[in-house]
Amino acid sequence: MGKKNLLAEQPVYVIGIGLHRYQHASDTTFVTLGLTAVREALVDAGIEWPSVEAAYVGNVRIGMAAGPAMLRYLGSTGVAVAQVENASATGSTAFRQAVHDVAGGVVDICLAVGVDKPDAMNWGPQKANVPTLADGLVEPFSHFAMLTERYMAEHGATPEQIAKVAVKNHRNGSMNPYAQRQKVRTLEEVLAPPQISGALTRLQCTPVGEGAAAVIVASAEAVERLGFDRNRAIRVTASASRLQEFTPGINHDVALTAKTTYEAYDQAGIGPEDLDIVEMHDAFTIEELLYVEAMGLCAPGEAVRRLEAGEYDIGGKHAVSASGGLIAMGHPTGPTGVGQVCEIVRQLRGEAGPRQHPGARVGLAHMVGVGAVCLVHVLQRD
Amino acid sequence: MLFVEGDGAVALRVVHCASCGSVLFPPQHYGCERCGSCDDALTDTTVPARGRIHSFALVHRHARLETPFQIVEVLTDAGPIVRARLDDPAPAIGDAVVAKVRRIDGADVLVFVPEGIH
Repeated sequence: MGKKNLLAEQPVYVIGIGLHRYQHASDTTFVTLGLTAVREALVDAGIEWPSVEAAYVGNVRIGMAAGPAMLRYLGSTGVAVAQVENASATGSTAFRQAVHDVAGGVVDICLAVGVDKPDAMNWGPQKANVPTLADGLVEPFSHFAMLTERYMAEHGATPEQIAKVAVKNHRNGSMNPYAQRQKVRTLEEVLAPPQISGALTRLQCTPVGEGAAAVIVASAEAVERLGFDRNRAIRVTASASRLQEFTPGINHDVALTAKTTYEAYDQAGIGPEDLDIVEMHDAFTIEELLYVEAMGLCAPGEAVRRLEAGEYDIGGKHAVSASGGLIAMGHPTGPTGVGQVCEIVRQLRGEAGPRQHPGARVGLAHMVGVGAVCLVHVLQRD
Repeated sequence: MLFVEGDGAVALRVVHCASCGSVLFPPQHYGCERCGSCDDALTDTTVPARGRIHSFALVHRHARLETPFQIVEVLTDAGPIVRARLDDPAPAIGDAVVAKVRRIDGADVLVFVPEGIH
């Protein structure tokens, strides 16, 4: 690659995590959502707001200057602030910026916060004036319905088998107080109408609501200076980010996730067998099957068998979407990628309570977004 | 328009890149998505609107459109995968499809149908 492996040379740690529960749209302002998450993260890190030197605010729907309109109520410090947008990978990108600010020595303590509400969306691609035959026809759930159809044809999987991803993730979400959906669901409930597109039913699709997630990252010097408990400081060992390449004749989704994930493995010096916790973009059930294969957790076509054997359960070989994932925890968009980091840190600290995966030491966070873009981070206990 | 009708067949408007040979759909002259060539390297042309079903779905929910309706991804003989409406009573991946032009809500719309059906 010829790229400097920055995170191998400059240790960066997550020292604070905080969330506002993901939920249906409400009258709560984005300011209250965001401040709730940031204040929880500050308490968790054991620091005060003036210690934070820079802040990246991820959101896709609130609009220009949302960050300053929220952070000003934490007190006057002159903190460096910028807003980040990268479609569904917005929160992951805010986190990457914060990690790189610390790794690059620009600041010692940095905040990444994602906050969003389901307001109207302003779509860039629509303004490019490149019409297609399917404009307004293929919504995200139909894109993934077509991937579902193809996976079933290629690997002989059934709708019932694919729906088991949602049964697992709803069960995990039922143990997560920050999840939008906190109900255990049977296979029959998951398969019940309403049908959305193709084989996908409502409970196999992510709910897009509102919420917030915050993470505080710090340099090794700051961890030392603060006297922060080393067992609760979780190191970030990889950050990879890619735009899909031009691949005529094939679906790009699997190729993009594979390439980005393996770039992250290289940075961290790990392989798929090392992963204990995987938080991924499971906005639709089929994605979990496609991505565990793309990430090398199993061979192509094997994901259903592994799922049914319990390998992706909490306590299994790799806990996939222990938080409930996008299907149960939800996908408020700006917060989602940051919320994945919160879950991984909680798991690697051993503080995940009833949904704790035993002996968790290595976690991977994966998001894709319109573009298509893909971001992958690896976090590890020292 | 993204397609043209003639001699009883429908053709897709595409852009051909002289630098790398890519066939670009949807057509545009901003630049080749593979190699970045622009200006004189890019030429408008057409290819047959036919190919094989790469995947499909019956859409049950839509914010604005009447449901249900079928959508399809077609791996065209010319190379690109294109997405459009489908009218096929028994679609299957790999089946040969061709495009027809239908009048839907006052607009000419390209719809893929099974090959051999008129």
